[in-house]
Amino acid sequence: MSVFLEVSIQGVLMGLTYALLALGLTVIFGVMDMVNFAHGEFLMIGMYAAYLTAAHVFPDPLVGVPVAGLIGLVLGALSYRLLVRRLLQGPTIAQIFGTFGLMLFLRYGALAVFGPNLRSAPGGLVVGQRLVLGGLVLDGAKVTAAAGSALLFALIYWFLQRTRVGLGLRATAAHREAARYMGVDTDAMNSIGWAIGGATAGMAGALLVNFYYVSPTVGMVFAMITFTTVALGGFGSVPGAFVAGIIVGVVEAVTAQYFSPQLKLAVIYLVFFLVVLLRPHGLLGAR
Amino acid sequence: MLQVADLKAGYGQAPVVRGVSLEVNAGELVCLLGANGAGKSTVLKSIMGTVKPVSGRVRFLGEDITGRPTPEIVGRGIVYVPEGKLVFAPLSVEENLRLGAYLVRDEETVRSRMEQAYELFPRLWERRGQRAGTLSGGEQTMLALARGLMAGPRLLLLDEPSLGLMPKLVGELFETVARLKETGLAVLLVEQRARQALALADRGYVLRTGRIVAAGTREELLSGDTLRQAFLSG
Ligand SMILES: Nc1ncnc2c1ncn2[C@@H]1O[C@H](COP(=O)(O)OP(=O)(O)O)[C@@H](O)[C@H]1O
Ligand SMILES: [Mg+2]
Repeated sequence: MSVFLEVSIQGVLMGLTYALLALGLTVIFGVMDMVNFAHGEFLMIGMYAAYLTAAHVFPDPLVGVPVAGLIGLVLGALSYRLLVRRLLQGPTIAQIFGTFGLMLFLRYGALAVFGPNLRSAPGGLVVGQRLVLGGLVLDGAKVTAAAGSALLFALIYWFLQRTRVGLGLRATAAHREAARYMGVDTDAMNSIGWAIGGATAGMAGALLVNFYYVSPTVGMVFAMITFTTVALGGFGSVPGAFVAGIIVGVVEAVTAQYFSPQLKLAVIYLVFFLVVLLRPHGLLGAR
Repeated sequence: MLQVADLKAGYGQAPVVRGVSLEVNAGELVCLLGANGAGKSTVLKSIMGTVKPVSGRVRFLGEDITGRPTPEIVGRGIVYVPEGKLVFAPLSVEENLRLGAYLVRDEETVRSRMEQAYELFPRLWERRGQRAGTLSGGEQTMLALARGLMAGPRLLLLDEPSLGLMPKLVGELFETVARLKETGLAVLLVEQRARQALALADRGYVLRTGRIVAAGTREELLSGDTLRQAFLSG
């Protein structure tokens, strides 16, 4: 097996988690034209939820996935109900600083509660497992995270395309005022959008804990990549989030292999700039 | 059925609707006429609760619905077909129709209404899988109307449905509206094409800079020069 192919497969695996992370952000943006700067912190809290579950309840971060999903869901919905909803009455700049403030609050709140140390899962079913497929050696934890992310992405996609509430969300995204004339409770749609964002970020975090360290500032690393992914795919585009997630994952892995791991973000941004030069609304963006 | 009493509404400081009273009875087709900027859409949006009235009352089927949330008003049976159609461009024609019946929980009812909609507008059946944004202006008008009917309205508010249509299509549209009236549906039709709209109507009101300046039956409004006066520099 060629090294390039192997590295690309690693990239696709990571890209599936990026896609799931981008999905939550793009749903919130689509429904209410708002960027959630605290998205990385939702992920971080999901990671702690899974880590703490593994450390104290049952020694496997996978058990923490539903826990992190539930905590993320509540956190997302509460963030909307208690904070964002009020910000909507203010100017746009208040909305930007509002979720930025939420990011800082959660990040440094976590620092105060959990301390600055990096923590890793104590073990688990897939932690540190090698998976040999033909000539290909993969990390079982990464394969699990990728499969879990893909499954969750498919589930949310199905929800958006095939359920009544999903239709309401897409209508709100397409034209909020018209959606209200159909009887859609657009305020409830905002809540649901935030709940989806929080739940998917939380579960992505729990999946990552199988092979990635946890720290109060870990959200920053992933948030930068996620914002780029969403912009690359097109703000508000769900298929765009998927395609862009994979692209970002592969570009990251290939750069780390052939150039230098330090250049990962630089090359991701380079690709992003090139795409946006040609397609200002991203690969699959509408507007 | 619908009673609007001394309604005042506006955007921010500027009053746009300055004391409008009107009434639509069961089975009636009533038009609200007036030049561009007279405040017709604002009256409809105040009924729908999108614009919160400053004062005045809106009653529907005997109940006060003034400033209630829009979804509740739709649930009570008032359906608004907005000016400029406002179809959901990225969604398919069929999804647009489904959204019209968003508050209808019975899947059988949705399906039978969908069939009726396709019967009324066979063009929409041909294009059911297409994105609504790719339809022509005339087709989007049909879609907006069909989408409104999917809710099973008791009262239909039509906001300048003829806007931007070719003259031939305007005739067809008004024929469709007349047929809806024949089924017993109450309609409040907002139009600038005063004579064509009045031809279908039982009664009409003429709005000028936020006030009703004339009201009466079709015959009363068509005789004399009330109409011409009302449309003079708004
Ligand atoms: N969203 C809005 N914000 C501020 N002013 C508005 C808004 N919508 C309409 N107006 C103003 O209100 C007045 C009446 O508008 P409208 O009700 O749309 O009139 P019509 O439907 O009769 O053409 C116009 O002067 C218009 O500029
Ligand atoms: Mg108007």
